[in-house]
Amino acid sequence: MDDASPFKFRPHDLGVRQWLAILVVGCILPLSGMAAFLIFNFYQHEQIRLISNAIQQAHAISAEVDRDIVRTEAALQVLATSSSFVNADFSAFYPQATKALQSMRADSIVVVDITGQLLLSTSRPFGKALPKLTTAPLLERIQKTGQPGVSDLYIGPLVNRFIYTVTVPIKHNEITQMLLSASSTPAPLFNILNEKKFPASWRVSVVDSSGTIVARTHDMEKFLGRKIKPVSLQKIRTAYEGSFRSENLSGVSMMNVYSRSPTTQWTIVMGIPFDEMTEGLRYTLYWLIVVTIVALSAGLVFAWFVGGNIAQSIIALIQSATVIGSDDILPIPYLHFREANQLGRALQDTSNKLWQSQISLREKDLQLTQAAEAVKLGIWIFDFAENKIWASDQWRVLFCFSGVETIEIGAVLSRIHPDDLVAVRQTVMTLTPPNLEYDIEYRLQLPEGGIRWIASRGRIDYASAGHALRIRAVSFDITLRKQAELDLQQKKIEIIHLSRVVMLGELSGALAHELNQPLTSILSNAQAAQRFLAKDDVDLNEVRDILQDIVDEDKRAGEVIRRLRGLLTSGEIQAQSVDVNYLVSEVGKLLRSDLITQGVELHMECAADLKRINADPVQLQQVMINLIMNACDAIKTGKGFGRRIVVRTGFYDADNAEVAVIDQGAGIAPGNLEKIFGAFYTTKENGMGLGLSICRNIIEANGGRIWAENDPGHGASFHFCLPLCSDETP
Amino acid sequence: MSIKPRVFLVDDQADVLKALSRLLCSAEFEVMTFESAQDFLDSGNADALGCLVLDLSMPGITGLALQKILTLRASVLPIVFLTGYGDIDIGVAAMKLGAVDFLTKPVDGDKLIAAVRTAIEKNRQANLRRAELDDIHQRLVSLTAREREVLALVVDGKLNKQAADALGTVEKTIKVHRARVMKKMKVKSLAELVRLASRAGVPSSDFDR
Repeated sequence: MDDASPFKFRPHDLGVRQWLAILVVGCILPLSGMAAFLIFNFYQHEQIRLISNAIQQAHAISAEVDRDIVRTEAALQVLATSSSFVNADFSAFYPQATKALQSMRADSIVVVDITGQLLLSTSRPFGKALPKLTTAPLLERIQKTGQPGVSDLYIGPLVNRFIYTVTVPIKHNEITQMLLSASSTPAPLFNILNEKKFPASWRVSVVDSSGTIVARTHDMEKFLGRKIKPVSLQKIRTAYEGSFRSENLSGVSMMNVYSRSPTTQWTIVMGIPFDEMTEGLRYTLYWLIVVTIVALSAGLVFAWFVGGNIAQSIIALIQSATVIGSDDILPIPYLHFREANQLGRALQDTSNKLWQSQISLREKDLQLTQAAEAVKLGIWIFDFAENKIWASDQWRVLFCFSGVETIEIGAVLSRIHPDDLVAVRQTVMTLTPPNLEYDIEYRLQLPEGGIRWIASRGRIDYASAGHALRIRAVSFDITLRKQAELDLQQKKIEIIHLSRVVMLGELSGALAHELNQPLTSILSNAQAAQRFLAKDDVDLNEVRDILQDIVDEDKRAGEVIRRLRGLLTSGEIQAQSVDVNYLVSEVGKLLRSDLITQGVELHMECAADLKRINADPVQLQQVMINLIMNACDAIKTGKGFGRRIVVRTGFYDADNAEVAVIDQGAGIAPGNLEKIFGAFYTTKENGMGLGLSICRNIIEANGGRIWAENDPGHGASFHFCLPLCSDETP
Repeated sequence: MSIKPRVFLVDDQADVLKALSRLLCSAEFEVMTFESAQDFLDSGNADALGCLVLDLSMPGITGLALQKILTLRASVLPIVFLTGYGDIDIGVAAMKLGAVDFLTKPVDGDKLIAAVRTAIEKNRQANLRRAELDDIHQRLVSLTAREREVLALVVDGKLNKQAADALGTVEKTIKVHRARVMKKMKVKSLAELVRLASRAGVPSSDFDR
């Protein structure tokens, strides 16, 4: 897979079922949480309302207890107005008290003096001696304040059980003389509590100012007279009403609601079991949890089922997708939901199109392969990243690899001819955008021996990051073409040589004449010498001169032969540093006789400072001879303007030397200035039409250019330019 | 004749000129060398005694051109042509124009010397012949117009009477003229007169009309 693909597959990705499960859980759990919060909130408000109701109830009870005490107090105040206290005669008071007791919710009425001495008690027959109270809790307080009051619970000395008393002071001259008390057991308070019909679990107590339980709805006998917990007492004393949580004496967690009477300092404490208060909440929460669990389970089961269906459909589609385009019709099973079926249909359509395009692609591929095979075109692809080569069968044949072997780039390079390897590497490796295509020809060294010429055209693909991805190329065998080219090259050389020979053949008369001159001199000199020597008086000086001349002339003949032999040599172009002016003078010497015969005057205008050029001297002379001979012909067929040929050398530009051959012939028809350089074009009766064509071949092969001009006066001029030697070395 | 015949050597190649000159000198010829035809013409030796050894192909005035010029100038200087290569056409043309010989370079010394000798001899004879002709011409010039008419008719073989008819005169007058012609031409017989006349090329066709 291409590493540039954006698709990443992680094996631990969650499936549809998991995602649906997360969806279900994600939907239900927050809802349940919210419901729980609301329920809890509601219950808290309920609790607060319950507590405040309970406080009011406690307050009502407290008020009732207060009323009861106030009533008793009022009755006692009435009794206190009895005259018996003035004269301290309680005989009349006793029946009064007994009678009053009946209408009071009290057990007995007692009178005590300020020392604590019981003076009277309705629980004892009148006149019976009465003890002095050891404990008189109210005595001091009332003496001090002069106000009526209620005592805490205590064990009555006479009745020997828990009682409490309501006491009013009996004053004489604003001084408290005695105390009148009505004592009562807590039973009436108990009745008050019981009348209220509290829930059975509630525990309601009346607690006196010292924290002693005066009355209780339950277990009265057990708790009576017992102090409540100091912690509770402390809490009760902080405010007249309120609530707090604690464990009661039985160790049960309770919510305590209390109301303290400001007059009596007695407190009504209502203990509501905490469990009872939170039971509804718990119950509701239990239900909520159950519902949540059920909903979750149902949701998960449904998610599992639906997710399964989706996953099943997708897997079925995946399986179909993996074989997409492999057949005419893509088999797709029934899928569980509409979109999947739509997707399935779309896949089927795509598959069908792919199938169709694959068929046409295969067809094209086949055509391409056949075409490539037909023209013996080898195709290969080199992947840089994987360092792998794929090659077509034809390519393997071309590069002599078997059909199955893995091809290494090194093996390919090793088959390239060592002389071409550097060029091939350079061509391919120096490709940079935007020039990505190459076209090279190189030789293969075949493993079985021999050479194969290959032409390769290719292209490099670059990734957007800038590194080379692959080379795609086609290669084909051009050995035959190369051979033909080489043959053609050889033929060209042969033709050039042949034409040179023919040209020299035409010149042979003149050349023979040229050679004849020194031979004539030599022969004549030699025979003159013979004659001189035959005489009686030999002039040796003369003979010496003659011999010297013979030597010189022989050398001259040698020069002529050398020139001729040079021109007759055949072979490849051998470019070398050449002095153009020297060549021109050599040609002039060679053609001298011929020009004389033709009655043509050759005039040379050589630039003395002309630099050397790089060319094949033999071929260059051939061109010059050809041009000069053409000029002679032009003069001959011309209208006799003049019989002069000028050969001029000079600089064409800074880098090129120019040679011009200027005649005074009839000139060239303007339309023919280019044509004359074509092969088989001639204006001469006996011409082959090859001379100028060969000249052009030679000049171009030597890196130059040849052209013709008509001169403004009359006649034509032929010019060629050739590159000067870059270095100054001669 | 007191003047020694000379060989005039014309060749554009100085070396060849020198060598040929040596060769001819060795054969005791008096040699004058010229590097071009123009030089020779300028030297004024066209009518000199001797012969001309002429290279055929030279720049400027070629050998053949020089021959034509000399012919036009009625030079009797015989020419021995030298050529680098045996061009038959040119050779024939040269011979037609009276060349003594046509030698191919490199030329054998003996052949050249022989040719030069022949040429000089020819020149000598030509000069003699020319001297004779000059003499005849001088005699012809001394004749009057009438005498020349009579001469023509006589040489043509006409009788005196016929001549008188042709000239519209009498036989006696013709006889007088004839005697005067014989005297002026310094001949003793009619046959001698006819020979001289024919050598001088006296025309007779005028009277045939």
